[in-house]
Amino acid sequence: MTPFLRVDGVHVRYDDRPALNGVSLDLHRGTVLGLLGHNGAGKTTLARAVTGLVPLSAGRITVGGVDVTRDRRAARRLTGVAPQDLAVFPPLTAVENIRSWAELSGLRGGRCRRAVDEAVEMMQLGELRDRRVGQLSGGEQRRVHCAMAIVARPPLLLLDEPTVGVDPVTRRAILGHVGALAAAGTAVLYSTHYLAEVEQLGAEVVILHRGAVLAAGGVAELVGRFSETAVELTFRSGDGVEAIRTPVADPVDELPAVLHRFGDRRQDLVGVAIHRPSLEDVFVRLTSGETRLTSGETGPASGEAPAAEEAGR
Amino acid sequence: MSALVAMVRHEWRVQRRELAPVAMLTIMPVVLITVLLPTYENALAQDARGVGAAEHAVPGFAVMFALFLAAHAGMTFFRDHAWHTWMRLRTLPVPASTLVTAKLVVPFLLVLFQLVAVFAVGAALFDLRVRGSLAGLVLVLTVFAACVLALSVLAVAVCRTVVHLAAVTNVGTLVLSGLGGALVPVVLLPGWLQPLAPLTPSYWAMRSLQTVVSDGAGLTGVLPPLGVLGAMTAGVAAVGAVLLRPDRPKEAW
Repeated sequence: MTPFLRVDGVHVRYDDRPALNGVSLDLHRGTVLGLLGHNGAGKTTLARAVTGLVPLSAGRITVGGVDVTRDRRAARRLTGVAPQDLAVFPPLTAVENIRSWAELSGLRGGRCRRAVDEAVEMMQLGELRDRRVGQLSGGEQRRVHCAMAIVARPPLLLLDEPTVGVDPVTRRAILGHVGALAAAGTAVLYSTHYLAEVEQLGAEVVILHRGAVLAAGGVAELVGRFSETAVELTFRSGDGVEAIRTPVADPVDELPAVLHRFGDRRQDLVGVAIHRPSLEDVFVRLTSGETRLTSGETGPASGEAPAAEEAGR
Repeated sequence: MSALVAMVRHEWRVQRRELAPVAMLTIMPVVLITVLLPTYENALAQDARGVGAAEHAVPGFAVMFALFLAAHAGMTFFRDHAWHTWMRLRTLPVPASTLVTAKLVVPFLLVLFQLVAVFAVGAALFDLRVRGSLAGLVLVLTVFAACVLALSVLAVAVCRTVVHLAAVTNVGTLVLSGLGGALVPVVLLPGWLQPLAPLTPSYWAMRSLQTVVSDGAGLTGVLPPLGVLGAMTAGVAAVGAVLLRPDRPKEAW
């Protein structure tokens, strides 16, 4: 199946500094692709490149088969964006913000009204619809900001850290709606620092680091490839405690063997824990490994990164 | 609804919430005319040019306070950068030229409203008589409103912060008003300054207005000075358009 968004070997430079360095990824309709990376990794630059806001020094981006460089306007018609920075019009009411955006996106008449009502409903803005956005809390403004991105129901949605500053209930609601939009056929590029959100969304993941794809794949796949389950035994040691972590394939089956191995310290044993790796463990390991690599040392990601980069497609 | 119309509607929604400066800059010239009309009567009587005080004060203060609105128009650009909405607007399938044009439509109409309002109050309260063509007067006001917007675009193009914009537009307004003959007739300026007056658009705006208001010219008669004003407007707009980089970040301070 042809991906709805294809990013193919994209390089972007800001003056002499490379911001994206050969990034490739595919995003299909009906799926969510989580874009992870430290600050400055290139996530926002990638979103800007997809909307044609920064010129590519090499590579190609297509949205719905439209080359972004050749026909920016046609590509933008297919794209809804919630940028990282909160971008709302404070003097307008919540519903005026959303209506303005619907009209600017080309909706009109009854279709526009229905779309606005749906977006208000979806982002639970009913009670806030006639309040000026400048008077709303940061989290409420963020909901208006997201509603503007989805109001025209674009087939491609770029959400750049959409849950920054929102409360847990709103975050859960936003994640639910992102999942629902994907289920309805929207292709969602979801950039975030909250790795648990990506796991909740069941998204495919691309980890960006210093403008390049460091790893890509499903959450389970990445966790399996780049991290390991372990049994952690904690022993009394002098005035403190000592934790010893032992990698295992199946913690339940292998726990007796691990305990047996440390049988001579059984009287000092104070804790047993099973450590199941998360996406966060993978992220930290890969990105810190890359740091070590660039400083001339070996690291756990040294052999993985090239293969991972290929997996970006 | 075209993108331009949608954007103008959107700008109106935003700018109608910020009409206090426009109201102030419409009321202030009326206040100043009221206060300073006797002074103008004395000054112009001494000059014995036969031009009534209101025939100078009303166009003069209208021109000066319209120029003050250039800052208001320029703020619409800085505002969108401060709200981070400019780059978001740029993700829409709308060319930057359409966004810029649409942002200028509402300020243009506000400047025109301000000019017409000052002249209407001038006629009602200060016995201003327009001896020439009313259509000619409206044409001059329209071209001058466009000139104010062109100056505003140029100011936005060269200023990086709101503070710069305020300084440039305030000082620019006073210089253009003084030198162009909006504050006092050019003949009352120091002799060494008078040759510089025709270099300013405000001078040609005042010349055009006085040609209609005081000299009783019709549409044809006002065309020579108005043509110069139009040419200057086109020139300023062209330079502003070339220098304007709407995506270049603007800062509040």
